[in-house]
Amino acid sequence: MLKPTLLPNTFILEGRMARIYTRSLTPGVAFFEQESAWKEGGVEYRELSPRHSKLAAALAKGCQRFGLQEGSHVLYLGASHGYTPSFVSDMVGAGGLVHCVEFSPVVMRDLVFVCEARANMSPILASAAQPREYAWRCAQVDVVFQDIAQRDQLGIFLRNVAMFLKSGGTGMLALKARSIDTSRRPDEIFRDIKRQLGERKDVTLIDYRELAPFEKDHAFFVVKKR
Amino acid sequence: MREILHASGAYAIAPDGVVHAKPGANAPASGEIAAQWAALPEREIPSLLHAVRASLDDDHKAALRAANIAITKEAMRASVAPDSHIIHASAAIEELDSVANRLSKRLRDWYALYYPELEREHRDHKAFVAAVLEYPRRNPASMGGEFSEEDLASALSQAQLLSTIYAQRELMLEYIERMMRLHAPNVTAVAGAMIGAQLIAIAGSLRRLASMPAGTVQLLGAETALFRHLRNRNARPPKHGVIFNHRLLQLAARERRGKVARTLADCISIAARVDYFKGGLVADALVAKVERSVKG
Repeated sequence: MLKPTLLPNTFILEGRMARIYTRSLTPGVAFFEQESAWKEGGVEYRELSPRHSKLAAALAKGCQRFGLQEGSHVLYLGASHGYTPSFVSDMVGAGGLVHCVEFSPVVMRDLVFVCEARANMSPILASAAQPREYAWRCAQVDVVFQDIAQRDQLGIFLRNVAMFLKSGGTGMLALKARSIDTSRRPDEIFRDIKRQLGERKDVTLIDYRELAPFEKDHAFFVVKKR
Repeated sequence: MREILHASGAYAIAPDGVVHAKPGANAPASGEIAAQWAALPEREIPSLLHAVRASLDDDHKAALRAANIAITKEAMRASVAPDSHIIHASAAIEELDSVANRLSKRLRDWYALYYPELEREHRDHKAFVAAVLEYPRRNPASMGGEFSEEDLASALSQAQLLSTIYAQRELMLEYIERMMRLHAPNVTAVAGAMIGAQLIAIAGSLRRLASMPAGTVQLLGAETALFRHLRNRNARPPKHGVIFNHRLLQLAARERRGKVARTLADCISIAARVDYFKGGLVADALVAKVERSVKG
């Protein structure tokens, strides 16, 4: 039996190992090798693995605030091959929109194919560090999600939040400590980022999770824009 | 009334901030829109994006997505540069080497059952494969065991494959040399085609190699050793990455290697900048500088 979760169109199948599923927007089509489908009551669901997705890892770790709703518009920074974005696209449904920003042409290749198959995904080949470069092909959003391996992850996140996120909207930052500094201890970096977010006037930290054992040296920060 | 272009269409903005989507307005050329937005003051952008969002009905959403797919596809087409070929060809060589190495070891073990003396005679894999193909029949005095026709034919077909792999490696190397001389002549002259190609592959492109500090170029390919050192200061810092295999660096006395590696990386870095930004040949002076540093 699938049970609803805090994320829209997202369910948990309880068992020895709980599994996370989203209601598929594209029944019969699988996009990724590691993807498996589940059918219940004539509806098709796609399994979202917390080992491959930081959003799923945050849900599995008990994160309470995501800000995602059916119909939400999302700015997804670091869309990569489109694995997690395709599930965000399931979550927000046909009425939502996911702007997928990715810098590398090599992984964008896969992402374009996913976007072409899903009417609520829009690809943008650009660097998340230069939000002005893509502002003219994006719009204001309800949610900003960022998962990029850059030294200035926090600065890039805050610049995008300032430019694209609506007031009262939610920002999610999947932070990779190793990209910020390989020689400092990850928990020290997490504490430092928490402190920096706490001092900001424009955002409030509303949830925080460390993503171990799903992702090593990663933490998940959720903020609300004032 | 001001008109703002956006990838989802054109918007008319009234002085009080109200936006009217212009019906039937086709998205104009992306260069034109980008230029208009580049000229906007940063503080105006969030309210404009708010206005765009407010009028993003199903039609405008579809138009925005279609425009972004088209723009992205065009950018993907443009992203294929000579660098891409150099990077793949150099990776192909590395893979051919590793496959040839494994298959050669297997062939040696196998063929040595039949003719151990020949296996022992050739230390070099390539020479061994050539010898096997040239003298598939052994000396009658050999201590090797009996092989049926089929046993021998099977082992020899592996040798055939290896010889094809070695020929393919030559082809790839010639291709890389031509491409490197054409697109990065100075890097090729200073670093050599293969090392230059590996540097471009690790950096990601000639452009990124050219914009790296020389100290980074010196250590490209030694990331494991570098991070080991950064995490634990007891581990000594690496002196060189892929440039380790450079002819002049190999020539240098052990205690001079660090200095030569530094000079070599400086010169490669300058060469990459000239190749990417300016063109022309400056390699002779750079090579002379590295040669002087070898002598100390």
